[in-house]
Amino acid sequence: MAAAGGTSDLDRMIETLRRCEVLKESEVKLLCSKAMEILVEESNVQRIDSPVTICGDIHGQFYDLMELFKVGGDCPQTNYLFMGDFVDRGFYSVETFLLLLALKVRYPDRIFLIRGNHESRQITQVYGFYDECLRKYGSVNVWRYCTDIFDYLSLSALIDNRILCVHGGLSPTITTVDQIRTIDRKQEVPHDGAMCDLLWSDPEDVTGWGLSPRGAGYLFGGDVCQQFNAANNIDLIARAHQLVMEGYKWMFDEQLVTVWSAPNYCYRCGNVAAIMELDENLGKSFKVFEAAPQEARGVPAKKAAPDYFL
Amino acid sequence: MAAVEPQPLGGEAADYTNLQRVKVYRLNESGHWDDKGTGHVSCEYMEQSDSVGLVVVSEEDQQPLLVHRISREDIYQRQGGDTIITWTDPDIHTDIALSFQEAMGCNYIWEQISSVQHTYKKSDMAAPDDGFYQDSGRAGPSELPPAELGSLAELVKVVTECSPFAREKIANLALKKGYLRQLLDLFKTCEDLDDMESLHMMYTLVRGLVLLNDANLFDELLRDENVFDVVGALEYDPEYSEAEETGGDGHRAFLRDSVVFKEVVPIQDPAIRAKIHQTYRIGYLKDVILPRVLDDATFGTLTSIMLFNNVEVVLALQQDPAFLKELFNRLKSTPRADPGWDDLVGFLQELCSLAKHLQVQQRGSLFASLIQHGLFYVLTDVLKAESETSQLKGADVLMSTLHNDPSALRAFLVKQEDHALFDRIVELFVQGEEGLQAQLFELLKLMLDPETMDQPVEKSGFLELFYDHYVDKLVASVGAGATKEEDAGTEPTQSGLRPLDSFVPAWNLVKTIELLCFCVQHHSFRIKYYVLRNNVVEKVLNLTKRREKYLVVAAIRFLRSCVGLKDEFYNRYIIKNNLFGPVMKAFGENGARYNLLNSSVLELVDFVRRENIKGLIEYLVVTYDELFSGVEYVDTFRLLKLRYQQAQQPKTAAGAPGGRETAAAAQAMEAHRRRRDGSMDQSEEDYFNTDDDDEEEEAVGPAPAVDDEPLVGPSPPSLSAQFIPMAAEYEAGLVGSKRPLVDEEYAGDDDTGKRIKQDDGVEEEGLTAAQRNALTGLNAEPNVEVATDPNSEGGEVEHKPTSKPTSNWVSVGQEEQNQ
Repeated sequence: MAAAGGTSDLDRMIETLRRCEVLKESEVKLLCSKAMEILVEESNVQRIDSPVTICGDIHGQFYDLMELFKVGGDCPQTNYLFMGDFVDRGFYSVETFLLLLALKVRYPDRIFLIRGNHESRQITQVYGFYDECLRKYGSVNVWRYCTDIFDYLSLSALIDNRILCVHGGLSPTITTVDQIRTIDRKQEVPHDGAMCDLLWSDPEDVTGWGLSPRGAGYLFGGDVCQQFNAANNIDLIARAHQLVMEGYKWMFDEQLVTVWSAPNYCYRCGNVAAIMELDENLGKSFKVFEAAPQEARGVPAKKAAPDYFL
Repeated sequence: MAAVEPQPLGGEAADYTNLQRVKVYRLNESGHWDDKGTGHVSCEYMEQSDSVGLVVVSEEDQQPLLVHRISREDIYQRQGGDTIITWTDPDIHTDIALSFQEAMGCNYIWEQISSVQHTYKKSDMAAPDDGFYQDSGRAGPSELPPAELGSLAELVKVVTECSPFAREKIANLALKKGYLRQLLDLFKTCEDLDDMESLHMMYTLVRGLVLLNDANLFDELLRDENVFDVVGALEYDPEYSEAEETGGDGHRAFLRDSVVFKEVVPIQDPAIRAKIHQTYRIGYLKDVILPRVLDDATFGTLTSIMLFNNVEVVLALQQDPAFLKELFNRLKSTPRADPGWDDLVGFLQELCSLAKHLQVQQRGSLFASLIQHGLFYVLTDVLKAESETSQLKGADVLMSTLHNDPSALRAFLVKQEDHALFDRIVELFVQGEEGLQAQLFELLKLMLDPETMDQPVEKSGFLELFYDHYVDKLVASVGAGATKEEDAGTEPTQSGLRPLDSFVPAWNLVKTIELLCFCVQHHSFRIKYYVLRNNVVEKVLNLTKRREKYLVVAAIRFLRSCVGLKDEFYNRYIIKNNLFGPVMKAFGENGARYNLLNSSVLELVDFVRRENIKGLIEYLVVTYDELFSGVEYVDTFRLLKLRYQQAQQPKTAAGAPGGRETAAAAQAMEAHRRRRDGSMDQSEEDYFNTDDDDEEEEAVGPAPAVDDEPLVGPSPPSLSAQFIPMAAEYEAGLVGSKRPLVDEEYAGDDDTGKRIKQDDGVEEEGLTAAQRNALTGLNAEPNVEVATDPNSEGGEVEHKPTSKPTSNWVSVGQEEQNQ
């Protein structure tokens, strides 16, 4: 549980964030230092027990995250695993990530966050989180605290030893789940290698491995997936990373599933979102949901800084 | 009149083209029809004459056979059983005939002609060129409905439903004299009448005008006299419920009452002031009013207008000889306590941050003149301020100068007599607040990066200064971090700084260690010498005793940085002082807990094995055999031991001499490798040769046996040639039979990856389209992309930028670098 004297502070922060209001910079600093102590104790492959609800990309769509909790049940009543890409694209990356992080610090055994390719200094400078921090706080400090936290996020999760969850997909340098253990994950997402691939790869109808059009990670075929699952004695790979219009999509004879949890992605893709619920026996059921009205219509965005010189 | 030969139809596809197939005839002076050729007829909007006409393009050479503006008079006749249209062309006073292959085609064109004539009649007879051509979505209207309440609905329809091709035309029409003003006056009327329905239409209309994405129209909409009405209309979003429309909180009120333009130094040119205001309003429109509505193209246009405006403003200020002078006069003469001082610094920060959009030369000359005016002296003063906000601003400006040209700041730091700025930067890094320290961390890394230095590391006067004076302060902080106890009483002093002799927080130490890692990786023997002499690794590793696990992990990373160099100097120093000791102690105490500490130690050991660092392998296996044998959840240590045993075998088999000679041979081999790599060049040798030998002797202690050997000695080639490959084969064979193992050395992802990629036949061409998607991320019409193939998932494809992280320096061209 949270450090002594911190629980009420944390609860207050969570309440603030649930209203989609930003925390003070000093609160963010405090939250991040607590989160760091918790995350550093997590493994590259987080062991999680069922039942748990698995979620894909959120991308700063705060009100849709609220919708997700409405559909899936609140934290900590429901256990959650979020497979990365909390930030960028949407208008509320700061509130979204900090709420998930605050829940993590408050209920470390109830909610798990693993790293997506957007949890990176480089990517967030291009796709919105950096600018949002600058706009909402007037300095890059909060961005720095958050991106420092990204380095500590776990890379994957293994549920009841049967389901491997990872943001992107497989890597040609990783043939066993054990090999993930010898990665020193505390770094910016590298441009190649195992850690990069786990966060960037995509399943595709190819045989073996293919070149990824994303410029990082690989495409991997059903044969690769099948071999990996058999070699590691797992039933399923659950991952996110790609928009699927129906919210989730099975591939490779149900050996892999993509879960996408950002409805009407970027406020215009028109897709629905999904979460995958696993019961105690790993029975799977999907809950599909649409964009929250507030997210689609948008509450007034935060006013710009009222002073300017140039 | 010649008949047109019917041609056999080539199936359904041909059917359609044949509909348009015609022969063109022209009546000559002798009263005969001349055959002018065969082609395809279509009804087109003709830009030059702003009218609709018939065009026949020859099927032989694609040249136009006939271009005829459709007349408003009833001159057209049909003949020959529904396949011929004739008329007397008023422009050339000649009879023309089109003979259609298909009656249906003839009917179609006949209807088109009638429809065009119908439109002519509907429109104002006095303006013969104004036609409204319904069938051509490309063309758009040739005039907009009048700016009246009654035609508002129609106007909304025209503006919001026009095809992409008609946008420019509609924008031009809206720009016609007085039209926009009339519209905005209409808006005011609606507001006076409280006519909510019309106001909602007004919102949609103005939003539609913005989305036409026309630079000239933007210019007009954002003009001083128009912008408040434009923004006003945008307050009436029909999708907002009344409740959310809080009174007095409208955009106009905000822009008029809340926004403060701070003119710290008077700007003489009113045009420049207007540009500054306009830029702010565009930003407001883009980020606050319409962020959800704008498509990527319009967003991009607005961003670039802002950018160009900014460049124009910065250049104008730079070229005003009095302006910068006045700015710096004020910066120097205003006391820090004066509220105006903050604004001056804020202005300086904004100016420097906008300068990044200038072209390289312009930017260079701007910073040159800022520096001439005493920028760095001013910044010394700014950093001396007690508030973290001011310190952050100062650091931000320093960053801007570094991004422009790091050498200017380095030169100043060396030149400044009391080194006040350098002192302060390091002081704040060691004792300042967390956010500031993170900012200064980036700053110091940029300053210390030899890649941007004109001189090699060993000649840099700047680095000399750093290593003479400042690295000590970093290491002292690390030392204090391991000894000072945490006590509740340590609060920052009145200056906002943590006292030097107080408890050092973990976050502070983490950044300090990271900076030292950077030095180890980039300053080769300068830092090496320093580390060896001052036992820096030990001091850092003392921090493994700290409670904060992330600090322990950071300390281990420092050892990893040293090991990562694969430099025998470091390795011998590590072995001699048993520097893996604290790491292995922490590892042992951590037990089998699978956390970051566990993983980073495993990675470190795995690296030693992968890179076959023989001295360390032997040291580790011999020293920690007991600890390692207890770890069975990974094969890291088993493989390491195997490596060790392999290294022993060939030598014993060949009857190689014992320990001391083995070490000597390894040392010689290492020296040989280093010479071959050229990784130790003449200057490095000089550096070490000229150094005081006694001092090194004292620091490193009694030299281990291997030091008896010459540093760069002759190598036994036979040994080095056979040694590594044998070991490699041995391991591959042995391990391979047991379990699938991917060893990066033999099945490296690079090679296999490439090979497989080629086998799969994934072609480069396939990549370019995807890359294009990736580059634009979501392009202007994401729905089209998604709709065409819902399974393509193209919307999320995005390219990983390959450039290095650039801290807070993000230029607009960033995405171009993705390629």
